[in-house]
Amino acid sequence: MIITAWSAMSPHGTSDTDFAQSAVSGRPLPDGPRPVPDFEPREFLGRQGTRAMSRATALAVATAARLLTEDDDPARTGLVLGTTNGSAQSILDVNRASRLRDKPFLIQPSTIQNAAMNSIAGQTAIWHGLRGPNATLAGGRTTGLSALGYCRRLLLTGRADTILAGAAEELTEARSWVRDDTAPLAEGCAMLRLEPSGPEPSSPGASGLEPSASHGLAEVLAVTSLVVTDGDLGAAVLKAANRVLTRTSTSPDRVWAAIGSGTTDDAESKALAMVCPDATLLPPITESLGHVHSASGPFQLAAVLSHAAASGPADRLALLTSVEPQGIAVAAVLRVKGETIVT
Amino acid sequence: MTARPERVVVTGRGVVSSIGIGAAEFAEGLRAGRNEVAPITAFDTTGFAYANGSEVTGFDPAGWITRTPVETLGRASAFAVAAAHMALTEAGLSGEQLRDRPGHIAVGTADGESQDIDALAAETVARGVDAVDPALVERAGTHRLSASIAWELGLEDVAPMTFATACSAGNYAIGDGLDAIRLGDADYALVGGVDAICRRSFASFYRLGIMSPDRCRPFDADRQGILSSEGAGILLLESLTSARARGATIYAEVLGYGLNCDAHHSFAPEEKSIQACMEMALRDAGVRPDEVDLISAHGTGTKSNDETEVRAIKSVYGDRPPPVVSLKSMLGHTMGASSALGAIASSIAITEGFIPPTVNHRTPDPECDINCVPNQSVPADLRIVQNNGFAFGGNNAIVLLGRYEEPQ
Repeated sequence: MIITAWSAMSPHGTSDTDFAQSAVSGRPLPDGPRPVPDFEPREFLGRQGTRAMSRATALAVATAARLLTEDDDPARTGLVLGTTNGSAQSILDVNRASRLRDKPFLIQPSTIQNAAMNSIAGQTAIWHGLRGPNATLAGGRTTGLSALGYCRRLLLTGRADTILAGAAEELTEARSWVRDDTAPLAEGCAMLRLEPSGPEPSSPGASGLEPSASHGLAEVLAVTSLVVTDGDLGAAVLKAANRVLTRTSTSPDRVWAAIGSGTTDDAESKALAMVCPDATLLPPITESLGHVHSASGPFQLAAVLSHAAASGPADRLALLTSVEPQGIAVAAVLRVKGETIVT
Repeated sequence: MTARPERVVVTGRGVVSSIGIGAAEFAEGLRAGRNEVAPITAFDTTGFAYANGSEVTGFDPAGWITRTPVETLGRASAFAVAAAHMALTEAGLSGEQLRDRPGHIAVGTADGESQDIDALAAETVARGVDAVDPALVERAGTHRLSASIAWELGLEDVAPMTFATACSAGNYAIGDGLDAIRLGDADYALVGGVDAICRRSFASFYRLGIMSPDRCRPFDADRQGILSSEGAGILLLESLTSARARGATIYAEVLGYGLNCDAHHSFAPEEKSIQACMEMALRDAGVRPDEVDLISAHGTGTKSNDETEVRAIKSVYGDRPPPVVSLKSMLGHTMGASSALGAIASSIAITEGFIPPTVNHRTPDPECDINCVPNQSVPADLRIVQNNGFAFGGNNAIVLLGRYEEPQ
C-alpha cells in the first residue's frame, strides 16, 4: 500500500506547508489550547451546507478536498476516519437539550446528526460524493496506525481503488473531559491518500526488501498491533516495533527515523531508542502539536513525510509507533521515497 | 489476490439479547418468535409520551467475566466481553489456547460506552466539565469495546478494531475479520457488535419521529418505527484449515461481504446504493441471487427503510425474492449489535433448519410485497443467507453466510 499524498490542517496553520515547515523547523506553539488558526469553515467550503456542520466535520471535508482528483472514481474511493468517542460535544449538546427542558426530545436534528459517531465520515462522503467503503474507527490514540492496517486489507481485497484515511479533532468543552496535563489540547485534521502498491508479493515476509513501487511518497510495508495485557507500555512498544521490523525483514540499523505518539511519559521514546539506536528520533506528536488524540497517527505520518521531503536521499525506512495509554500499541514501517512533496 | 484465499468459518457464537443469553437460548427465542417489550429503565423517561424498549434483563457480568474487575467495564464492554467468552466456550477454546496465535478482534458499535458517555454529559450539565469523574472518562473510551475482550482473555497478539459505524457496524466487524483471515493477518477473529440503551439514542430517534410507541412492526402497513434495544453478538471466525485441524463444529461459512456508502443523506437510505452493496456481497461470495434462500433484512420498521430495502432487494432478486425477515421485530433495534446478531441468527437458521419469523405482523404493507414469514417460524432447508446492515451516514455492509458441507 502506497501513500500518494497527505494533507493537514494543524495549529501551525491551514496549509500543508504550514505543517511541514513547522514540523521540520520545530517551531514551538504557544501554551494553552491550540486551535487551527484562521480556519473558518465558510471561507473554505462556502456558506451552503456548512452552518450546521461541526468544526471537526468542516476540517475533514476541507482536508479531503485537497486529496481528491477529478479522475477518482467516486464508487471506488473510500474514506476511513478515526475517532475518540465521536463528537463528544454534540453528544453533550443532545444530552443538555434533553435534560434541561421539560420536553426532553426537543433536540436540533443537526445536533443529532453530528452526535452520531460516524457523522464526520458520512458527511464528508456526502460532500465529496465518495461511495466506496466508509468507516469510522475508534482505536483511542492508536486508531490512526491501526486504520492503516484496515485500509491495507480493503485495498488488497479490491474493495476500493483509493482510500482517504485520517482523523479530525476539534477543540470543544467536552474534549477537556480527558484531563491530561502533559500537553495542551490541540485541534486539527490530517489525512493520507492510500492506493494499492500493485501485485502483492507471494510471501508476506518477503515484502520488505522488494523494489519500491513506482509512484507515491511512501510505501506502508507493515502494521503490527498489540494489546498490553500486563500494563507495561514500554515493553509493548518494544515488542510491537521489533515484530514489525522482523515481519518486514528490516534490520534496525536501516531505520532512518523513528517517531512516537508521545502519549506515555518517556516509555515510548526509550523503547524506540532501544530498538533503533542509530535512527533519528523525531519529536513525538504531543510535543510538536499537543494532544490530537485520534489524529495522532495521521499527524505522525505527515511529520515523517515532511522530514523526508526536507532532506536526504530517497528510499529510507521509517518506524512509527502509537500508544493508547490504556493498553494498545501499534507499530508501522514505511519506506519513504524522499521526493520533495512540499514547495 | 492471486492465491485462493482461505475459507473462513464460524465455530463459536456468543449472544447477549433481550430474547436470550447464549446461542441456545437465543435460538429458542428465534424459533418461538419471542419479543419482550417493557418501559425503559436505563434512564429517566419523564417527559416522553412513551418510552418502551427491549432491555437485556437477567444479565450478570460476573457470571462470565473472570479476569477483569467488573466495575472497570461499562455496560457495552461487559456485554461484548461476556459474548466473547460464550463464543470461545461454544468453540471449545480458551484464551490460553489462542495466546500464541495472531488474532483479530473487531467490534462494531453505534454509541460506544453510551451510558457512561451520557453520564459524563449529565455531570457536565449539572456541575461543569471540571466535575467529571476521571475513572468514568477512562471507562467511556469507545476503543475499549474491542480491547476489553483482549484484556479479559489475555490476548496480546491481536489487532483490536472498534468500528463506530452505527447500525451496520456488526457487519463491518465480521467483514474485517473475514478479510484479516483471508489475507493471513490472523488465524482467528472475534468479531461482532454491541450497544447499550441510552438516553441520547432514544431521545434522538424519538425526535426524528421514528420511535415506535409499543412494538416494532417491520413490513406492516401500520408500522410506527424502531424500538430501542441493546445486546451483543460475537462470533469466533477461523480459517477452515484451522477449524478442521482441531475437529471443531462448524456453524456456518462466511462466504463474503460487501460494503459501500450512500454519500446521499445522513438519515435516509438510498436504494441504488443498497442494491450495489448487495451485488458486491454476492460477487465477493461467488454466489448468484437464485442461490440465496433467505434474507435477514435490516428491517428497522420505519417506512423509509422497509420500502427502500424491499425495492433494492427486488432490483437484485427480481419480483420473487427469497423470504425476507426482520429480526428487529423480535429483538428491537440493537444498533451496533444488530447485524452481528443477524449473522448469528442466520447461522442458527442454517443449522437448525428454520426461518425466524417477523413478529407483530398484522397488515402487510402493499409496498413491501415480500414473504416476511409473519409471526411464526417455519421449518426450512437453508443453504445460503444474506444478512443486511445499513446505517445513518449511509454506511452499508452486507454479509453472506452459507452452510458448511464436508467435502465428499
